[in-house]
Amino acid sequence: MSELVIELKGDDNAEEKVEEAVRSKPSARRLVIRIVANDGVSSIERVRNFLVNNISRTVIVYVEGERDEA
Amino acid sequence: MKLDIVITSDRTMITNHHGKEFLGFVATGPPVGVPERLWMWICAPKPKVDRWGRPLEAPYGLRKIEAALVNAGFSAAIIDPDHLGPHLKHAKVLMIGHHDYFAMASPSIEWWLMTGSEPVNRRSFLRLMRRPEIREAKKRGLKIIAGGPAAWQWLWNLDYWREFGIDTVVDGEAEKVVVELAAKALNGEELPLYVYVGPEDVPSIEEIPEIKGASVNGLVEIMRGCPRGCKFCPVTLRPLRYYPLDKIERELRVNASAGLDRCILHSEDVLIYGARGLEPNPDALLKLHALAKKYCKTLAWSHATLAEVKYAQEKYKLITKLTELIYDEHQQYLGVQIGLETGSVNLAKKIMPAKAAPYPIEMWPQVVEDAVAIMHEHRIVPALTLILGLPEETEDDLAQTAELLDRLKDYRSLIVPMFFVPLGVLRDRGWFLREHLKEGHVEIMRKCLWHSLRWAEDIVSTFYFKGARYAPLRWTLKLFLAYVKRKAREVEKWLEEAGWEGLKRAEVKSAVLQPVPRPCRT
Repeated sequence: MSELVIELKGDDNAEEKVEEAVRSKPSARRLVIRIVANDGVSSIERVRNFLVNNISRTVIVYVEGERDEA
Repeated sequence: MKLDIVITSDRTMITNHHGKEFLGFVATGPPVGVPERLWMWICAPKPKVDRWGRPLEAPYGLRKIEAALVNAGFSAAIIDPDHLGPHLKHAKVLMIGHHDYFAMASPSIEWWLMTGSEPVNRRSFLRLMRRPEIREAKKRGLKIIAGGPAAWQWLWNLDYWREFGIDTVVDGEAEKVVVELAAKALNGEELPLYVYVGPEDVPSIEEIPEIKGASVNGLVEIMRGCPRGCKFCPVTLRPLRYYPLDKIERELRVNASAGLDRCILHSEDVLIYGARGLEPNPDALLKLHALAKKYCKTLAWSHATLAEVKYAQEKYKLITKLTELIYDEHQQYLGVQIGLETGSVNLAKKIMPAKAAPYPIEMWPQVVEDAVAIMHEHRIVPALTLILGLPEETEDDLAQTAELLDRLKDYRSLIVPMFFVPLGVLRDRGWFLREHLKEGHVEIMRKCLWHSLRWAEDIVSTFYFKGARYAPLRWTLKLFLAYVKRKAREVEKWLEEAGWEGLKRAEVKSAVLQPVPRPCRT
């Protein structure tokens, strides 16, 4: 299966960068998005629109930072 | 018993609803007119468990995850929420699943929006996640993975995601990916925060594991996916796969060996089991039902479609043949949930162009009426669902739906209006909230309420709760129906005096007009 890895840094326009990467390799059926920003769960907000709109590809999101309040 | 992986959910999920699946819907509402404990007893009694706290019956989706993990060699089991403590002292991973974690799906969301009071499924889930045994285990390094059909709701509830320390959310058919995630969690490897399982990662029929313990009310899947392509539905995004009869039989046997003598055949449309396209396959359907009756005294269908009911009966007399096979001294009726969605041809063309197939979509209202009449004659009791607030809906669409409801009033059924929730191809559309309600919506809700109240009394007494065993439930529900009728008359009086717009402007404080809650917390 064709895979596409996308790395998002703190100051990247996340949605734009993901859309652009997908356009560059439309055959990719699996996207691995790695958000390098130490924001934990909040990182999801940066790609939420893309995730909500995606229906045709497997998407795996990795983030840096704590995932809970503790 | 020392488990590495504990699978669980809250009480509204880990229950058999007194053996009456439809009572599960009561968990989607807030406790209206009765104490919450009584409400929970009605919809979610505690199940029987073994000495390790494993429930005799557990949700089918969780059973699939359990089976996938056990087949892969992990020490994993479903544990009742009241028996988590001893297991979480040792477990390294907690997996949770839910139909509606935060009451954001229909019908929870409209009960919540209309009453201003949180549904019990949400309350129960939040209570579960705040239990000390989970908090303490989390501090010791427990990994928590959340999934199930409501996984999407976490995207809109990041505060809870953080509060509960959810390590990974998995959205989609998880039988394959869960094995990989479990291995990562147990080996201390990095876990993804979120996984959406796309069509190419869903399991094939051979890869779908068979349940190892009994499912709630004997539910067994007979297929996955649906070819109709309705835009509001996430199921149509998945590939169509039929279970062969021998696979179904092995799962029926698991349930029967646990003492269950009832089953629910699960499919988006039971009548297309084994079909070529949408052409029913009478031979496959008759064999399927004969097989189910071999193991179960009573059976139900999870879902069917109105077009298929009409077509199967008109072309093959299949509804007659199937009910002749199903009905005997143990069973005299059949329950099913069916999407009516709208009475408007224009709206149907836009959002569900294949819903009436093989009939043209222009015939949709007639298809609905004919199918409901066929079911009435064959003692099939449908819970019909309507969607209010679909994108591009007009006043004329609402008027056509109201007109269709008038045509259905003499047919035994429950009709439940549901607010549009952005799922399926329409995932990016806006939510339908109470402030969007117009007079036309209120009129439809009013018609549905009186239709359902009229038939609910008949269904409760004649079919659903017959016999001394169900007398306490029957009387509790009859009292509740009487309470709802009294409240409905009060609301109708207000509506007659002020109309819906007037009532909204007056900001009347009442049990049905509390401040509008927001389902999302981000």
